[in-house]
Amino acid sequence: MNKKRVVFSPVTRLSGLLSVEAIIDKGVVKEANTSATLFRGFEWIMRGRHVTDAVYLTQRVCGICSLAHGAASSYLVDQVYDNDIPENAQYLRNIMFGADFLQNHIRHFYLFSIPDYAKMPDYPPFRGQNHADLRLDPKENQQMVEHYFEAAKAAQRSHEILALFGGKAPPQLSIWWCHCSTHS
Amino acid sequence: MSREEFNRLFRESTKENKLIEKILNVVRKQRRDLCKKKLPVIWLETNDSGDNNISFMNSTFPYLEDIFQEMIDLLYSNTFMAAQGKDAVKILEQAAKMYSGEYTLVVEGAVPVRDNGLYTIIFTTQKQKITALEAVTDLGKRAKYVVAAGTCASFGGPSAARPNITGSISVQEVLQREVINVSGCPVNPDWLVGTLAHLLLYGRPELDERGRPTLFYGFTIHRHCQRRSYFDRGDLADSLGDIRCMFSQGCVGPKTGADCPYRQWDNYVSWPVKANTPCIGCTNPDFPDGSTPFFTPMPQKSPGETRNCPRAKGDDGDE
Repeated sequence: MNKKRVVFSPVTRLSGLLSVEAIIDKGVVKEANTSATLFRGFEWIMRGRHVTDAVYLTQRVCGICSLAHGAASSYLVDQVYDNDIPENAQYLRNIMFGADFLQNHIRHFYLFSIPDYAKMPDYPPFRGQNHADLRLDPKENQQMVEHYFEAAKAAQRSHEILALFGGKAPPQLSIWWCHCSTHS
Repeated sequence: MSREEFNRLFRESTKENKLIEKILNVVRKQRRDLCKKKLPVIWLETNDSGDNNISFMNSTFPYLEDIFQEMIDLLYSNTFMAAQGKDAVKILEQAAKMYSGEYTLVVEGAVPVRDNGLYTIIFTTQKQKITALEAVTDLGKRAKYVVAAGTCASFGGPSAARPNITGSISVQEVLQREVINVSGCPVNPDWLVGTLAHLLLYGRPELDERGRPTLFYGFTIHRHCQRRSYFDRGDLADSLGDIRCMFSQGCVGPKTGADCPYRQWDNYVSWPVKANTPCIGCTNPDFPDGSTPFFTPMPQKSPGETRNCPRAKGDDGDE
């Protein structure tokens, strides 16, 4: 029996805590388990509260995708109250949702994924990077590193768009059931 | 650089950008000479949403690049570090040892204690699971400063909201030493980066009775709110979206310490009241239970009850 247990933990550069474990038998992966090792019990937290509180509370489920939860809650609460939202409100919700998506994609690709492909500069938090399979040539690599930092600024700008309508970001406040507010 | 040289610099540089470039270099050099080391930081993410590190990434002036290059040595961070798996664990152990007594421990998130802290595991090794409770207790002992970033870490926050089935508590309740609470849901990047900058340049900031830097939390939202004159005149909003004071719509500004009205958020563009929505008191020790139901006026807020809230269609009044 040539069973080997490989533990890969922590998986870094994500939103939350993740561990991966694989059981390998004679070079074949027999079992692979991932565990998200962070639990708060939001379903229990939501019970017994007024349904309109859901729009703000559910945004605390996750920081990088907070508006997705807020938007889903808003649409659900709209259904509960049997509300049709005005057209402008729909546009505003779409813009806010789009801005959060943009921020999410930019951060996920550049800040979370690029350090797997490009050789990052030698100062914290990039020390100890695994250089075993870096394939970019020096010029491309340099470009990627520059883009990493530019992406941080671009993602911030996306959240700025969100904050203009939502008051602040990550979790923003002006997405509601029945309409979406904005200062006149 | 001497004053005469500095004056000469001004007089001789005619093109605008050349001057700024030279000035910046002088400032950078002075700063480097004054504080030769960056602040060593170990950032632990525990039972949280990750909001605070996203907000931290939203920092402008300094931007993330400047923070990493010139302000802090982010030795360990589950969100940012390039290393993964065993490499990351090794870096944490080395950093804690090498900078023992010097590092700043930033904890983002509450610490669950029920079932031996099983509900948040920082990482797993071949032999054991390291819970947040263990990690915070251990690293908190050898840190020079402990900063609780966000309301969950500072006071329990949403992670510890009723019924708190994980038994999540604040960092201060876990550690027997002073913790600097930089609360907010999430924390405004200025508050966190500002606190770290203060630690780097001047050491421990002045703290209020809740352990929060008075620099940012000293005044209430209510004190500087742009709608204060409506409140003072008793001119309260009739509904959400009304431009008048939103105390009637559940605003918790009067009991919330923070500087949102003038610092605002995300490159200083807006804040909740400016976007026509009431403050929900996200820096408060009792957030969110003390602020819910969010849209009920403050005197009538009571967690778990639905009095004075709009009734849903088909709701006969039973919960």
